[in-house]
Amino acid sequence: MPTAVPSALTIRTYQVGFGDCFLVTFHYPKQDRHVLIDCGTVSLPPTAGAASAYLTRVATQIAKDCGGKLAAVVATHRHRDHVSGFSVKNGKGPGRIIRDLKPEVVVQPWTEDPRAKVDATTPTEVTQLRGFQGSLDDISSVAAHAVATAGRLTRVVGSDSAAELAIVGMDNIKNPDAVKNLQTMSKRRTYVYFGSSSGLEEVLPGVATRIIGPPTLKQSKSILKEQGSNPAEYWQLRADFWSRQARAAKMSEARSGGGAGDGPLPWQTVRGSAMPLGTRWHRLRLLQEQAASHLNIVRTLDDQMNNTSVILLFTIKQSSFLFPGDAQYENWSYALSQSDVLEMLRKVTVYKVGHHGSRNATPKSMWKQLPVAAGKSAKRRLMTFLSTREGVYGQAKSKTEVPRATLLTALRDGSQLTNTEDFGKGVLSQAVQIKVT
Amino acid sequence: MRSFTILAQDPAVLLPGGRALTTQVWLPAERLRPGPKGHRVHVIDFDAAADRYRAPGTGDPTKDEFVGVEDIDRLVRNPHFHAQNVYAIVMSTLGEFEAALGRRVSWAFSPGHQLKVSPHAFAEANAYYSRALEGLAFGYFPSRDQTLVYTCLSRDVVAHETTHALIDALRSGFLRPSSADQAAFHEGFADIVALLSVFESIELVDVLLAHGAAGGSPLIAASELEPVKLRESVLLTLAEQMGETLTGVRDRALRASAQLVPSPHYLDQPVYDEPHTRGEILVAAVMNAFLEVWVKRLKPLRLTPRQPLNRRVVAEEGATAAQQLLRIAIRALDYCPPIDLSFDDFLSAALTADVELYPDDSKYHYRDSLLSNCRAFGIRPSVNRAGGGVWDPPLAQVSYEGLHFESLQRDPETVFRFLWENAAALDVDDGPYTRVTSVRPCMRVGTDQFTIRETVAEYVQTAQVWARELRQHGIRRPTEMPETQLVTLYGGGTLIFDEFGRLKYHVGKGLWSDRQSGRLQSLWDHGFYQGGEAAQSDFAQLHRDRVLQRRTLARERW
Repeated sequence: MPTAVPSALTIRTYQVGFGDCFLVTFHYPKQDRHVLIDCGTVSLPPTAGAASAYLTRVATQIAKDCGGKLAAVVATHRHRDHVSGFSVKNGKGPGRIIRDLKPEVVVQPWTEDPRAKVDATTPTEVTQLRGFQGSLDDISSVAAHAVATAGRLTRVVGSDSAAELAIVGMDNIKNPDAVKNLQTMSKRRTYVYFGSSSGLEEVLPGVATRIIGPPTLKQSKSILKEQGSNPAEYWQLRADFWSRQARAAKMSEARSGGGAGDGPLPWQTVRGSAMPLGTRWHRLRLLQEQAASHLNIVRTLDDQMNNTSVILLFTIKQSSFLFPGDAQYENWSYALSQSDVLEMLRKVTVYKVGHHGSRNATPKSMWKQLPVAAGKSAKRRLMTFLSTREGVYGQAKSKTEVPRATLLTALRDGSQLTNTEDFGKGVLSQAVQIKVT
Repeated sequence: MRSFTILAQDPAVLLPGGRALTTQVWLPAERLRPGPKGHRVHVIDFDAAADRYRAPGTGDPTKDEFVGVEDIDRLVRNPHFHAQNVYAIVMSTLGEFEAALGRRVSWAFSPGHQLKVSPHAFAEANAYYSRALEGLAFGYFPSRDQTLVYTCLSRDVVAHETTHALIDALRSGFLRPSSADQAAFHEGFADIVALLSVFESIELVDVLLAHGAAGGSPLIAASELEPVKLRESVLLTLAEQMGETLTGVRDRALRASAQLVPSPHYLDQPVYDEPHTRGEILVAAVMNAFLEVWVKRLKPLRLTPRQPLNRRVVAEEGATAAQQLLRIAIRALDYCPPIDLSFDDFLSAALTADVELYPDDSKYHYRDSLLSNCRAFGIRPSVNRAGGGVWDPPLAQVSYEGLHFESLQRDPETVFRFLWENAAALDVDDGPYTRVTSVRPCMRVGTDQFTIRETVAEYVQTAQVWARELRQHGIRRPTEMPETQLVTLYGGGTLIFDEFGRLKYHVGKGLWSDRQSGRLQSLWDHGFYQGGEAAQSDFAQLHRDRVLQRRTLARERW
């Protein structure tokens, strides 16, 4: 008896501001099956109200849209704007609603595998260097410190930079209740990597699911070697870097009060504001440099966390559907070095735009493989989905704004774009049905 | 003059028995205020991480209270020693530059006179120079065992960051984004100065020799006095003693110098595009030259080839070799072009500067050692490759008509007129915007003990063109660069006048040359035209990128 194959897909894009939340419904002849890909936000539209209440509304809508049952949940990576909707506080919250939809499987990147702790002695199915997860935890600690200092730095760096510091920092802070909920909401959990099975095969018959990112450390090695780096040293240096940053951040936070003798250094100091006349200019300059440093560190750690994203490719018959989370080039590079992946990318019908349309997360070498319309008048075969919010991240003058204007133009010209920024006021979600050919 | 105690290297490099290894540096006996605050350096102990300030002590800052202290903890725990340590190392590095160049050096943020130095600027494993800060900032951080590590206590780190400030003072154009070599030069040269400064300390070299193959004996066997053996006993021993605590703050240049097998192919490999890694090649070449010269200096001291030598004498010869090479390297800056520097240019500049001051190099062959070791690492002189590699004197006859010798030594207007009158002879296009950026009279002492006067002047040219116009000037446009992109091209040159005001050398980088094609491609690949990039190097971030080995993939971005 032939396996049932979906005849169509519906992609629901939920308005979560700067975040991702997609429900993909596979329409089989006798039933529908639903996969939730991410649910989180760090910045909601102004009329949305409190995040927790709003995400509860979104979760309630998801429950309605999937008829009370999820086949699977995919949490592409641990950033808040992708997982805050899985939070459960005191047994309540959006995460509780999603948990009650009883997903049959939860898919996360291999970097979230709880068996792969820093001091793990038993190897998991994925070969990894000790300390990788530890460095993700260190990154979260550094992010928390950045958020804690953002308010103080507003007066020296201006509100735009301080806001970016706060929001990117916030995005990287550990979200323990969401993480725990994801780890326990289903009996089956898969921690995936390039080429691993997705865990979705049983719940989505007739659909080929392929994981093309993130690469494992072992897979990354081949790319690193190609670039002339020593992989062991590469990871060790990174782990040491974040470990030192985290220790320094922790030490800075440990200081108390503001009186004489306070501060992390073991000698008498006074408040900066009490500095002698001839040194005050230097104080302001150094505070500005320190704030700029914080921002650079936070951007760096944000990139590293983005690169743990699951890149998921569904293929049904001749159509492929690409969901890359927030993966940037470092994550993509292994996949793009594989000729069969390049071939698959040419068949992509749907592309969920990476990282809310930032300039780093739709690598041009990947974009060139997609069936982008050749001109404004050409038939637009490719459908793209962008969940974003303007004015939250980056600045146009430095060409770092998200979504990036040039990418937005390319998406509009070369594809049929669904953009949450185009949703009307109060619209909670938009559904697009796609026939499978 | 007045001497100050500093750590010979850092708190990890100790005398037997764990005693502090200190050394004395001699500095001008200037008036000092608490800080210390002198006429060139002001130590301000402000911690931006905590927004806290440590007031300097009330004692007399000219009095060195740390002479003969062997308890390393006493030095590490004393913030006044930290302040003295950075003040003395910065001043001593500045002194090295001024002595080598034969003139005062103004900081890049001129008209400011005092470099601000923060010994405990922030809680991070980092240290950097910033022109905007008009100073140096040194971080501190807890080690794994929660012991505080102070980057201001590492002589190589302090000398490295001071050198960034001094290169910027002498060649501000080197911070401008350009070729891979130019970015790498800032790092490599700062390492060369830092390491050779460290090896100038006889006490330190002596201890390293005692730790190494010589096994603590007052005599060293002749078999140990070969470059390959000294590389192990001195370079590697120091690298190992310095340990891993400051990995990421300091470069791996010392270890690389000890371990890199010479090969002319490194510079062509993609991994050596990264500034710090590329800089290691230059450092390895110079440090190998240092070892070679050191050995040459020891040969005349032995009556027979197998005669062992007194360890102290070996250390003294090593320290002298380090100082001589350091001065050759520093003097080279005056003979470098003001923009788009390559390693090859630097080598030609070093050879030329040394020939001018010490024509006779037959005793220890410093130049031969430098040349052969650079060649072994793929660095070849820019000119006269088959010969000595020195810059050519001007080929065409230049005119001095209407110029006055006195003003040519100090007046940018007069130097500009010289350029204007001789544009054709010097092959300088007088169309683009041209300005003379510095005129610096110098006085150096040659081997014959006579003073040599020179005047070093720099001019810079700029032209703004649309990308579509590049081809008509013989410059290739990066494939993906839009034709409507506005591009600024830089050219310029260094003019060296002799003591009679005659032009000795013109080290020029023409504005319209195919060299610009490579520069534009490199800038395009590194995202310079995509915004979000600093117009000048940001050393703080550069240091972090070095550790994380982040690669710029501008061509993948939007």
